[in-house]
Amino acid sequence: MPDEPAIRLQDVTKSYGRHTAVDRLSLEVPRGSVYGFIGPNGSGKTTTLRVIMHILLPDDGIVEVLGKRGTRAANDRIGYLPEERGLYKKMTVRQQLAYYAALKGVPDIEARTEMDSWLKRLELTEWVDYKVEALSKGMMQKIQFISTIVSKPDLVILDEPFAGLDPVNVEVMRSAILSLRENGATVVLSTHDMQIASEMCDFVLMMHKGKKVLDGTLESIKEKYGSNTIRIAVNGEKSKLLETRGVSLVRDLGRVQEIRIEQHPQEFLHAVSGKMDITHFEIVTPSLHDIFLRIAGTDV
Amino acid sequence: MFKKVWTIAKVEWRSTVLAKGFILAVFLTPIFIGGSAVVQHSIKERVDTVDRTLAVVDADGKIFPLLKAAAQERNTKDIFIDVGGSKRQNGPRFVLHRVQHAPQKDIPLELSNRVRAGDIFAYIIVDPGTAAGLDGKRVTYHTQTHTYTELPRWLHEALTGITRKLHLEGTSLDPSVAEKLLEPTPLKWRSLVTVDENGNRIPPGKINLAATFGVPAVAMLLLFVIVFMSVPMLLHSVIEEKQQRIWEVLVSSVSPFELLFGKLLGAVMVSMMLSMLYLGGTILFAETMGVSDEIPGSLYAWFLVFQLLALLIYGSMFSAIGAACSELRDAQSLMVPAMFVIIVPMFGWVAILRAPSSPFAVALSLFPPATPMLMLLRMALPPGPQPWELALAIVLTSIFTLACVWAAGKIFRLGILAQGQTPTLRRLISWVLAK
Repeated sequence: MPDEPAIRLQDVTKSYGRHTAVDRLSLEVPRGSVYGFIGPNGSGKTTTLRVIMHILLPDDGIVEVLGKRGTRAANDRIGYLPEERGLYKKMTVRQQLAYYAALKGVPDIEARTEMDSWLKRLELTEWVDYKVEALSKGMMQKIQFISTIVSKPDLVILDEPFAGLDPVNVEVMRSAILSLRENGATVVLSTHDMQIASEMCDFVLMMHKGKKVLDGTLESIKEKYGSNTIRIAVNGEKSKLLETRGVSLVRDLGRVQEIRIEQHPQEFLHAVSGKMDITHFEIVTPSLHDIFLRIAGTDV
Repeated sequence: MFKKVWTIAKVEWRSTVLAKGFILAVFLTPIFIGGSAVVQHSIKERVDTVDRTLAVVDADGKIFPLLKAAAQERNTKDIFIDVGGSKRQNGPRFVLHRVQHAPQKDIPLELSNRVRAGDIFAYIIVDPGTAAGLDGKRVTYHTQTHTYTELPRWLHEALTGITRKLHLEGTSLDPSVAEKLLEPTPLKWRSLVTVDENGNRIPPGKINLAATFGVPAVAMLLLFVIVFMSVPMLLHSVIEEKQQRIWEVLVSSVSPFELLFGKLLGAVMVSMMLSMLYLGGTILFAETMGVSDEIPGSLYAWFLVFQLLALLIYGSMFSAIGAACSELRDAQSLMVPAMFVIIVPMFGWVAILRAPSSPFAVALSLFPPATPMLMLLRMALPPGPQPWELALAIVLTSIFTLACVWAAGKIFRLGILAQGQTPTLRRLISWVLAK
């Protein structure tokens, strides 16, 4: 069913003892999209991904992945790159990739074609018969990535795929991930890197203390958090501006103040223009990083 | 599902059998076992020929001359063997000398000091009246090397003969008749009478005592070696996967139960390969030594059955412990209770060897963790277990095996996800009981 979401969670809760790692989380990941999970450490991202993979069972709620509800039936169609990565050090690259592909039920010949293509693309062909222990950390991460996608999955879940990579390899990985979407796969990635999330993701979900605090397209999120933030400079006392009803200070930039207002910017401008001498007025579109900081606040 | 289990099993098998340590162990184990047999044999050949000097305190003076004569006879006849036409000394001489009874001296202390100084090996004190057969009179033997039993054993036999002879001299019995009366009756060990398939009576044959005791002991030892060469790899492989963070990738593709079954199957494959090697070697050795008739063919089949059960029982335990631990040192504390179960057969096997059908032997061989080793031991020992005992053992052990695999699966499911927690027995039990 193409219109069905790739992933649907409904009121999913997962606790470890008294600690609630995921609290009544609901989300839908549209097929063919790149869906970003963002949030500070301990916000519940990895637990959510493990619940999606049925590695952890939820205490409550519904988990539906690729149309299969509450079972691991779809796992063969999912490529999963966990945050804690590891490879068998004594295996060769080829053995490693063939093993992971076989565990996904991919025939050897099919896996070999896909493997060779990805190794060539990530410039690792000459390392195919080397033992994993002979590879550099960056190479190992690329091998781990290939092992995730060698089965040509419909859904790819990547937990912090850019962690530990140098800038060159970040670009290589970014390009590889985007090509997965071009080939029809749905990609879910969790990341701390707000710039990457804002550049790559069609949808972003932000978690904080186990709860969903943001969910939607980047544009809709920015619109929600951007239209009420302005940068303004006035002649005279700044305190008069901040004493205005419905105004709160976001950042003091010196001559310019970044403030949050409750009404529409045009209405606000109209209301204050007769009362003070405005020298600068700018509607600010906050970055994802700004929104992230604003929501997570001091917890980050 | 089975395809994935099979994939895991193949990888486990290959990673084990291609490991240098394993290949070395496969070839070194029989060399060590064979080597220790050779060393023991060669030690046996290097006989002890150091004289043992015995001081005798014999107040009556009647026993010492006869005892000395008996020692001289032994020293000239019994301690020599014929090797290629020439005589070779095959044991120590017992050199006796009499210590005069001197009431004014503390003879026992003086002799004890001489023993300590290495001047004499031992001394005996013959109570006055012993030769006359007075009630309560005896001979006491003193040494500091109580582990050496050859001298006291010979003394016991010689003194018995001497005192009997002295006592008989005081009676009217003809010495030759008396000697005939006291002569021990020979006892020969023979097998039972059997009937072949044509109804022909097969007369009893000679008993090969070495094979009678050796076959069961070797069968059990071989099972122990094969099982414990195979199952520790499960512990190491699971801990390695946890340490190297591979487990999460694996359980995203297969369920923890599939992963456990794959690993167990891999261990079974490794151990079956070892069986082929070692049982093949055993058959060849038995043929070469001409003792193949002493090993019933069915024993090989039962060996494989009990091997499978033992592997699943101990393999489950080791896997579960591996899954619960993040590091090998954590596993050591959990291995203690597991080792108690594993060494149960070692507590009872000697007693079972002596009395294979005793209630103790039956009860212990029906205790499931010990059944594979001990029931195999009993099967190799005539008369073997009753059919009902064997059937009950298989049923109980199969149920226990399933319970072990099930419990290991439960521990595996939760344990494989646990990181950085020190495992305890209580936690393992809570994981088993978790829904």
